[in-house]
Parts: sequence; C-alpha cells; structure tokens
Amino acid sequence: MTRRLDISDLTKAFGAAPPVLGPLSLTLDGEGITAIIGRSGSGKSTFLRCLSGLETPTRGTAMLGGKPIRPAEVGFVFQEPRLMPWLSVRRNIAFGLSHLPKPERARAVEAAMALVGLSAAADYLPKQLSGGMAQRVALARALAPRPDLLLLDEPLSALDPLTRERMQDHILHVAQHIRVTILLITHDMDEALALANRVIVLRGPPGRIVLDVTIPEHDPAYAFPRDRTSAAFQAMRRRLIDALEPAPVALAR
Amino acid sequence: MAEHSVTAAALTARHQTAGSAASVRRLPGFGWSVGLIVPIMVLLLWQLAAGGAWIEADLLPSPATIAQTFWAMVQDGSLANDILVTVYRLALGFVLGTAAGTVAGLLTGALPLARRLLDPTLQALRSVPSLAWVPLFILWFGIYDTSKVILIAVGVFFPVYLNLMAAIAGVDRKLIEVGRVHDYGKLRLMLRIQLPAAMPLYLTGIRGGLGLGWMFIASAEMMGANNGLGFILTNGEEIGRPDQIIVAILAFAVLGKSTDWLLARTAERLTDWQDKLHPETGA
Ligand SMILES: Nc1ncnc2c1ncn2[C@@H]1O[C@H](COP(=O)(O)OP(=O)(O)O)[C@@H](O)[C@H]1O
Ligand SMILES: [Mg+2]
Repeated sequence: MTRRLDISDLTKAFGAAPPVLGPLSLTLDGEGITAIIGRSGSGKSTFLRCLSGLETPTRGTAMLGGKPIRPAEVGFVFQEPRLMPWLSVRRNIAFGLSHLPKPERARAVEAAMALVGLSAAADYLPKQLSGGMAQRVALARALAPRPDLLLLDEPLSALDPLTRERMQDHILHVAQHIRVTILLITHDMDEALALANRVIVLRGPPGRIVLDVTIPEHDPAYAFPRDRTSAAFQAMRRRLIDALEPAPVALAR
Repeated sequence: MAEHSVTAAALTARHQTAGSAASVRRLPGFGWSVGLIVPIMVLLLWQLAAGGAWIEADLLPSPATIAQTFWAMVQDGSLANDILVTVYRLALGFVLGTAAGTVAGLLTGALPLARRLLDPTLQALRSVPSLAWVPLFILWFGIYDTSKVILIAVGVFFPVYLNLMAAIAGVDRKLIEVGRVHDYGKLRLMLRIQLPAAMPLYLTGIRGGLGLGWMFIASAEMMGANNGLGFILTNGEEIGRPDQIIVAILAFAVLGKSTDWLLARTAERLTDWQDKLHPETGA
C-alpha cells in the first residue's frame, strides 16, 4: 500500500494579494492516477508547488502518512523537461540519487530508464533528444529516487499530439508497474479521462475543488485502454465540461 | 579533426556572407585559406611600392627588409628571448587576474549582499584607463616584473569577474527548481547547477580577460622595461627602426591570435553540451 496523502485547508496567497489557491482539502489513498483539471490560472501549478515544497503554503497542511511531506518523498515533472544540458541522460536521471552508493545508484538509474524505455539513449546529451524523449528523461529522473508521491504539472502539454499519446502510455505504464500515488495536472479532459481513476476539477482563482469524481474501477466501460468513443466516456466528459464552465448557477454559489 | 572543423566553420561563415559559397564548398580544404588572400595582396603591393621607392624606407620599410630584420632577431635569439619574457609576465598576470576574478565573481554572484558591497567599487575601478595605473604600480611595486604582472592581472580581472558574476546570478530559475525538488542545499545547488550552467559565460570572460591582458602588457612594457615585446616597440622608436617595430607588432598579433584560438578550442570542448548552431572557434 502507498501512504495516505491528507491535504487540509491548504491556502496560498502571494504577498498581500488575495489567495490564488484554497482553502482546499483532499485525501488521496492508494495508487493510481488522480487527474486535476482546471483552466489556466486556476491555481493548479500553485497547488502542486505547495505539495513539493517549492512554495510554502500560507495556511493549511499537507501530510503524507501522517507526517509533513519531505522533498525526498516527492517526484516532480514540470511542463518542460528542465534537464541539465551538460549531463548525459544517465546522469540527469541520477540527479536526485547522490545520497546512494554508486552501485545502487547505477541500478536505480537502469531501472528508471527501462521503465520509460530509454535504455538505448543512456549516453545521449539533452540536445540530442526529441521533446518526447526529453520529457521521458524528466519522468525517469523523478521516479529514480522511488518517491511515494509523483507530481506531474502538465507534463504533456508541450508535446505534439502523437508524441503526447505515446507519453500517456508511458505514464499509464508507470502507474501500473510501480507503487506510487500520481497527481497529474492537465487542462485536457480527454487526457484526464484516458489516464485517471479519479478526476478533480479546480476552479479559481482562488483555486477550489468544484467536482471530484472517482471513476468506477471495475466498470468494464472504463477498462484500460479506455474507449474514448464509448457512451460512458462521453457522459463523463460532459460532466467535466459542465464543471469547468463557469455557469451562472455555479457562480452564485 | 581540427582541420576539418575549422574548414567547416570557415565554410559556414562564407555561406552566411557571400553568394559564392557554393563554389567554395566544392573545394574542400580551400575554405580556410581564403582569409590569406587580402594579406598576401597587401604584401605584394607594399613590396612593389617600396621597390619603386614610392614610400620612404625610413618610415615604412619594405616587407623584404622586415623579413631580414625578423630573421636577424630570430638568429641572435633576441626575439625568442623577448617573447618568452612577455609571455612569462602575461601568464603570471593572467593566472593572478583569473583567480581573483573567479573569487570575486563567485562571491558576488552567489551572495547578493557581497554584490551590493563590492560591485559598485569594482565597477568604478573598471573605468580607470589601463595606463593610469602604471605610475602608481611602479611606485608601489617597483619598475621590475611585479608592477607589470599586477597591471596585467587588473586587465584580466574585470572580464572574468563580470561574466562569472552575471552567469551565476543569472542561472535559469527553472533549473534551480529542479535542484530544490531534489532537496538540494545551497552548496549543492552551486556545485551541481549554478557552476556548470555558468561555465560558458565564465569561459567567455576568461577569453576576454586574455585579450585585455595582451593590451595591458603592451602598455606595461612600453613604460619602463628593458626587455619584452613592448620594449622592442619603444626601443625601435628611439633608435629609428620601424622594421623592428613592425616585427614586434606582428609577434603580438600572432601570439594574441593563437592564444585566443587555444582558449576558444578548450572552451568549446568544455561546453560542447550547448545546443548551438555554429561553433565559435576558428573565425
Ligand atoms: N510566484 C507568483 N507570484 C505571484 N502570483 C503568482 C505566482 N505564481 C502564480 N501566481 C498567480 O497564481 C495564479 C494561479 O497560477 P497557477 O497556479 O500557475 O495556475 P495554473 O497552473 O492553473 O495555470 C495566477 O493568477 C498566477 O498569476
Ligand atoms: Mg500551470
């Protein structure tokens, strides 16, 4: 089992400006992918950055297994690969492993590379990689230290549509093969529906949860790979769109 | 390998500027020699003009005379000796200036407080013309090598300092964040992200420093030296030997260019991870 993530009343304001996020409460229990969708500016990145320690929440807490999250427990993939251009693929993936002795580090790197299908590119420099490969390196770098929590901040939105679909397969593969709780931010609801077993819609600022649906795990209509043309898929899609649209009724809240 | 890449660079350069690129590209190995056409033409015209006595040999000796002087200075060992003296002073000053510039650049780049304290003063000193230091340094450090080495170090210091400071302070925040999500402390951020990321600009600074070092050593040796290439210049003026002056100028040009080329090659090798369209060397 993975450890439980408890977020309560998480709020973030930058300086004296009104909050851009929260208060937001959420519990994640177990493996698999939870997708967070929301329009640009709704506070999605701020949310993940608060969880990773890149930002300090103004109020509220985020606990993993009952204790405050430590950076070592979190893997983060940004929208851009953010590889160190002077390091080979292998050494980029080893970036978060300097605490390990050499043989273990090498083993962890090999495992992470294999997981995302990069073994053949181990000695390439970032400048030699395609966008999709570079993002897979970033994914492997985040996974190599074996985090409990993997935070993906729109990791696919800079990729072309074909590459994006292959990347989705890689993320699904990761979710099915290692024990990790994945929070995936996207503004693409088809992507959320293709990958996640839970979808959360954020609206803001300040970013708040307006919809939280768990996708029935054993319903054959949602078996992987998901059939995007199915009636169930389309109905779910409709619900998400309705939640995303700032309809007058919802605004009156 | 070296030959090949220089050729490629020259070809690329021509390709960018001239329409005749296609014909040059069809002659592999010819590209680099294009740069020699102008000097050779000038030499020929010059020799003709001197031979026809259109210019006074007292002011501008013929290339043949200069070649003779050059050969004489090679044979009596004086040229090699003066070059060695100059290169020795330059090397000392270069190492000293690079070291000081590196320390100051690291400090001010990494610590905003250090930058606020030091940078205004250093910027003010930077605008002092090189020659203005000479009398003071001679008073302080004597007429011999020390004052010259220090003057060169001053010249080398500023480009190294400025570039390293800017490079470290300007490292992409996005890369720093990658270190932070991996729980890197300040020291590790510096060693594993900021320093490597700063390398290209730092090396550019060192190259600029070497260039200024050559400028400053000419100043240093022209004011009170009894050997070195700069001394050949002033001595040539005193005894009325323009040929000797021109030999020294040429030596400066060749030495300056080749040391810069060496540094550029080294820098390129150290930073070949950069995703650049054209190499900088060789042009
Ligand atoms: N460092 C910051 N300083 C001030 N405002 C910020 C900062 N980061 C984000 N914001 C603001 O917070 C809001 C939410 O941003 P963000 O979390 O990036 O949204 P999203 O990822 O959903 O597009 C935006 O209005 C943005 O301008
Ligand atoms: Mg965002």
